[in-house]
Amino acid sequence: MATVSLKGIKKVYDNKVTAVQDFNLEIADKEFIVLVGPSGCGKSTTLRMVAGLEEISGGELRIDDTVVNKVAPKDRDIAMVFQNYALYPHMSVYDNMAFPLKLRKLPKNEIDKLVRKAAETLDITEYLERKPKALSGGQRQRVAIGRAIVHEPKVLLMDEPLSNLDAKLRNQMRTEIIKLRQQINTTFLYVTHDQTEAMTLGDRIVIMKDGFIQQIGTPQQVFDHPANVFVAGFIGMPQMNFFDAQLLVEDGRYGVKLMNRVIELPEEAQKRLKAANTPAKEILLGIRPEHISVVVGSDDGGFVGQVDVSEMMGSEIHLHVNADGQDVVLRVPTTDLPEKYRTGIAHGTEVRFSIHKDLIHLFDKQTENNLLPLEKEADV
Amino acid sequence: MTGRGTNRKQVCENMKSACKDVDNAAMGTAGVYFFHAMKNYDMLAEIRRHREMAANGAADAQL
Repeated sequence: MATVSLKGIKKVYDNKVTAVQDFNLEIADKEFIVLVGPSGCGKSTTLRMVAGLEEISGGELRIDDTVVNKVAPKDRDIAMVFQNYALYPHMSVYDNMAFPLKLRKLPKNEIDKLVRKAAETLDITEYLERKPKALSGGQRQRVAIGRAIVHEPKVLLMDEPLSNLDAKLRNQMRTEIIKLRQQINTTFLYVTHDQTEAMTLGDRIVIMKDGFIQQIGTPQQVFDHPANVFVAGFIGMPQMNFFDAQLLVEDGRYGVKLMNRVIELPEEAQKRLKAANTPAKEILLGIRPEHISVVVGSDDGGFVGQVDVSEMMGSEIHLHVNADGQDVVLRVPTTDLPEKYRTGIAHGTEVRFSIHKDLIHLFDKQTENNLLPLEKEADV
Repeated sequence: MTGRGTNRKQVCENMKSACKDVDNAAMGTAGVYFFHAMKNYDMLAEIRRHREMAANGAADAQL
């Protein structure tokens, strides 16, 4: 267990490509931090810099109070789990797990005790004598985690550990990692491109794009108060709907004009827009598919559109609706629909829907930043 | 990847040499690739997977 501090971390490769820029993050002892973002955003590079596998081009990296920029990987007391397991093929499961302990010159009986304890935690005791090639993907990843936790590292780094597993096994292993976290006292730094993993595992999430941090916050904070259009679109499934709209100001009251209708903004938004002296302008309005309701059995109120595609997901239907030439995605629980629509809604059917105005997000069209950002970012 | 190794340096070198073996195999396959493009696509993907695994094994041995 340890604190990790990254201040102004930067990575520039020999070919002048900048992979990570101005990365600032304070990780508390035993905290579970998830770095998430699309391919090439710099999340794995950041992780490898913490491990010492990549040289740091600028900034300061501390583990506890020690600056470790120039410390060799083996002296940082960290462990890493790789996406493709990276087990030593010529060693048995037992030897793979014992390897980091042998390097630390622990007595044989101590090694045996620790390996068996880790094997028991991960439920792999019966495979200890096998070679990695005789294991399934899920079992191999358990061994890789076992090899990483066996010497009780200060920081456990995980680089997309579940990406090679099939969907069912991935869900199962995700639960295992949550359980593991409760059993071992260590600080976790976890990299993934899967927002579900990020939301379910992380105490805080760091969302990255093109080498820059876009937002740091708890899962709820990044979901409810995305800092910009990128975060809003990246977190949440199906993706948030974005519409061109106009922010209006009349007699000191703010409203939004969307699809020829004016929505009056809630009081909190009124206060904050007024305080920031926000002028009337073109904006992007964001609304999550689950925050749009289908209006059934009424000809009045709401927006009108025609169903393009209806995706039956079992407990809910994802409706793609064309309204005023814009594609709107709605996530509708089947129990909210009349019986005849519960198996899907035919193409071309007219539907009315209403937007929960308390849950809309307003983004500046030029900067793409949230006009009502979270007032106090989560920090340690 | 059949080499032996019991200490950090040996295991790291062993995994790096596995990388080279995989690279050489990839070079061999690349020649064949022109004639059996589709057939060998999976093989190349498999080779890339093994190479990455060996490289990460070498990285792990440094921790």
